[in-house]
Amino acid sequence: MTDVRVNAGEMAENQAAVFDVRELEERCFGNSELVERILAQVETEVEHECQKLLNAVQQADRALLATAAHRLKGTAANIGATRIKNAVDSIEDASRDLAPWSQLEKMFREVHEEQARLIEVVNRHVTRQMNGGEV
Amino acid sequence: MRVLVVEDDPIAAQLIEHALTQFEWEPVIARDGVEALGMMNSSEFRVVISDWEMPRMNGLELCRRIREHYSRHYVYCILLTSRRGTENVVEGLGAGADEFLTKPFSPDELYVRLRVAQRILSLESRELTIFSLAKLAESRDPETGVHLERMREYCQVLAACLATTEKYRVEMSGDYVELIYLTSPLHDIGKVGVPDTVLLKPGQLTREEFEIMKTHTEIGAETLNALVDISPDAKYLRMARDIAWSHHERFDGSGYPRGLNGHQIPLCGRIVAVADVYDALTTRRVYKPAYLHEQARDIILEGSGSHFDPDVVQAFLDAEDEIIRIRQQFDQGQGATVSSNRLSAAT
Repeated sequence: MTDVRVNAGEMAENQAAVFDVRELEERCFGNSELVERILAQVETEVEHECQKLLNAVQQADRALLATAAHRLKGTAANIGATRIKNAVDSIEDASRDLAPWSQLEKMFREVHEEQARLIEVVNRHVTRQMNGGEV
Repeated sequence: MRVLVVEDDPIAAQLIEHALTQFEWEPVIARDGVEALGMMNSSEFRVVISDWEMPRMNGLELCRRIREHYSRHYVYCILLTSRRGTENVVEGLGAGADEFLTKPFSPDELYVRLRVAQRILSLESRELTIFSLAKLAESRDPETGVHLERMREYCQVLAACLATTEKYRVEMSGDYVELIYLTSPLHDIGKVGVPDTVLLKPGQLTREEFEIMKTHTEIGAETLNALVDISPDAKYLRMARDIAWSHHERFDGSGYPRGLNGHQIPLCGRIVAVADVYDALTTRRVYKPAYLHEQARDIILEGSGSHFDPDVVQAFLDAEDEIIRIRQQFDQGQGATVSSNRLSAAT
């Protein structure tokens, strides 16, 4: 029989890897208003940066790709979004190491998937906060 | 203290801004290096925290420009970037950054790094404050030109030379040379208490007037001693006080204000005595032309053992080339270079 407690723990861990609000709260000195304000900008900012990544891939511009990846990595690190941070870190390194474009395109798709996950988790968190902690 | 935060990522900028506010610093945000330089041209910032990768002008170029163009006060630069690895650290510090922090920043680490910045800048502030006080006192007697600037250079050279000798190695260990450079400009600060009628009198002083003039040593010492009472651990204040009262004492006991002789006179006072007289001799005054170095050297040699400590006179001879070089640099108007090079090395 499956132990639901183990599954719940794994889920929380996975979710924290996508976005760990505690990291962001720590960086905001526990200021919930600032956390809220930052989270309200995450979707727009991350989408904007991912669009730059896509443009760089489409234009086959390595320098632009590395720069856009670097910028998104910084944003992701600051808000505690580890998985997308790791994904863009890999694409930045690969771009600077002159990896083939087929590999970079594949890596971009992974970043794109992580972007969707991140926004979903962040939005779920925001909704929960708006509902007083209830999902 | 105001901090210029140069960051094009709005989320990062808000987080850093909030952290700095929590630390009771005053953040001002620029979105790239060009905007930052514009702000620095119109307003003074002593600490800059900059991202590396930014449009128009990146953090490395910003650090380079700051080092090239902002030499009046030291600007402490912290690079805050997602770049990692020794290669990037070397490149960042090589461009002129003082610190290299990686994103995501830890608030605790940012706090302690800013405290380091504060400590480093306070050293420069201390030096500037002391020198400003000395210049203020000197401003009442404008004919002496850059006497203080030259004299502290001479003091530093003489002290550095003595510090290498077996006899003075222990007494002058640690930051003695640094402190005499810092405090020697205060030697005449007591002149603020001498009336204009005496201080600015163009002709020879009467006996009574000279007695009044001599009080500048004790006035300066009393003023500085009041500060020593407040900060008894501040070595530089003790040295400044000792220089103020003892730089007109003579090795044979014929000086003033206390008539002490030999090693009863503090070493710092014995060093300043030589530097002060040498500078007075080699610069023009209303009552005399500027003597050649050789003439001044002869007068100092003649005073060895009577006016001056023979050990300091020997240091003067040992460091003669360096003393001539300093004098020539100031004669050529490069005195500021001597001082700013030294400040850069210290920081």
